[in-house]
Amino acid sequence: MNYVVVGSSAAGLSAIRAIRKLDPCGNITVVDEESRPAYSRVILTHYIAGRVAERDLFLVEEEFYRTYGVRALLGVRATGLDPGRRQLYLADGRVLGYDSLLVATGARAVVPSWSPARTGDVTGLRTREDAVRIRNAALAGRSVVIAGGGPVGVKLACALRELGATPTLLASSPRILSQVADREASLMLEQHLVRHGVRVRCGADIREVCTGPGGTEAVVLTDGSAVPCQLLVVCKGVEPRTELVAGHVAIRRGVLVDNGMRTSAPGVYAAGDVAESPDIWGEGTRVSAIWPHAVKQGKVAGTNMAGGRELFPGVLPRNAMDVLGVPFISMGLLHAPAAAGWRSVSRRRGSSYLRLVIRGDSVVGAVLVGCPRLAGPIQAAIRRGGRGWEHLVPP
Amino acid sequence: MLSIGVDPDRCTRCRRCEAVCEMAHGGDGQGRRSRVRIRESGWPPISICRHCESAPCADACVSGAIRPDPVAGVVEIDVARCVGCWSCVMECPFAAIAMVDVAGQGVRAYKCDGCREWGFPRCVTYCPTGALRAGAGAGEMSGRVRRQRAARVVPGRATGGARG
Repeated sequence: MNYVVVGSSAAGLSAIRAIRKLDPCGNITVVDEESRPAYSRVILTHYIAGRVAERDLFLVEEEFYRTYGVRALLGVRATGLDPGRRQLYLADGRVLGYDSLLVATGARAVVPSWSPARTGDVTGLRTREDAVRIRNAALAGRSVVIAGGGPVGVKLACALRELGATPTLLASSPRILSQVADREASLMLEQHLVRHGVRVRCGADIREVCTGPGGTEAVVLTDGSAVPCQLLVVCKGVEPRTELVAGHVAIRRGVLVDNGMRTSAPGVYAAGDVAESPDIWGEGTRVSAIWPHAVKQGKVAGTNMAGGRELFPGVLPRNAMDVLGVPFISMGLLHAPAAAGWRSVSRRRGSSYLRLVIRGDSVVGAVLVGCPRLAGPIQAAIRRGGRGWEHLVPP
Repeated sequence: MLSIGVDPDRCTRCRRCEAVCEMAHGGDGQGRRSRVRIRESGWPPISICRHCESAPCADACVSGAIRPDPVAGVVEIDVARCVGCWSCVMECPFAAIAMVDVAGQGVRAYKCDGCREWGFPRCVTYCPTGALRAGAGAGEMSGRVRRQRAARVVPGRATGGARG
């Protein structure tokens, strides 16, 4: 059997482990455009804060590929696909034949329309180089503006604060973390950030980036005000990198897969940030670019590619982070629509806040600020179908 | 893997487990840093890591700090690599992972390490009622079984005798 894995990050590595578990002899080739072994993008903010040494960013060492008997083509981009002939084309002219192919190309940072070409003063936060640039700028005392009030923006603001910088966080929504928190949690966390020295501006979008002779000097917001800025970090979310398979498999936002991680083309699988898969309620499909899904989907894809049988239970969106000492976790559906059968149960005690979203008798989502212990049991309850949550939240 | 079972109905809240756990890990026996936790109220009544064969905390760990060690049969935390992101806490259905403050560096995850230095969980040894158990073959998992499991999971780690 010839297995080809495109992308050597969380999903790709997890698939390689799963394939090897079932097939000790098959040929596995992994292709990745980055020339060094995979590193964890998720902990780049912790690297910026100085909690992680650069060498500890790496998920595996080159020895991993030898141990697992994998041919690693690192620093090579996959450029095209012929699913009929089951061939993958590489930028250096090579052609790889496969019996099964895993597309684990991940996601890229969204670049908004106002953003000028990426220069030294405007960056995203997706790669190791981005992180190094941000950390150095902050250490040099340059003023940093973060565009984007989502999880990455907030984590970056916390990391910079830990370094002693005073970043400005711009959220285009009326509140920070609007996609992953309910209103109450957003406001609590915003107050906490502000109290600890992060400047937060909500409902603020950038109209223009002003550049002087020495580089970027300020950003002008849509309300006309200007914010000093020597480094602008754009954290506006990610989008699946589907271009390799575009035109060959069904794509909505991401590459559509079933619970076995199969795409619409025979022998082609997808996993991780690039994939759009059914949610745990079986009500729709979602791209959920989070680490645990990438690992699990990679494992499921690898198992099925090697002839085993495993099903992905479905996407359950969730996030956990430490907001300057306050743990924040959310999962599932965060808002109860004003419709029959929906309600929410919330409890606020001092600086801790818990809210469960209930549909019928079943818990389908939760927000926890400052009280993380029950997050795991609540997630387990959601996965069991949502019943039996009452004992978790005593009145 | 080491399988630990709990039976809250048998627990008399004597908290001997908390004391021996802490002492086994170099603490003062007051139970504040115990890796097994007994609650008078609230849920769960007993928190302790089950060392899951397919561990959701390890799958969720973004820094590679939590890894199953199939040879020793335990799920381990490398505290030096932990970044305190709460992902493992979000995943553990048993609420078995806690965070401890490290002066000036935020929090780090800690949980039961299976007492690998002792060869058998001390809390189980000292539990007078059987509320804490180590499952069949758990503590005394033979070298042969460990090597077989290691061979299945980590190619090249087999030292012979692997089947299936």
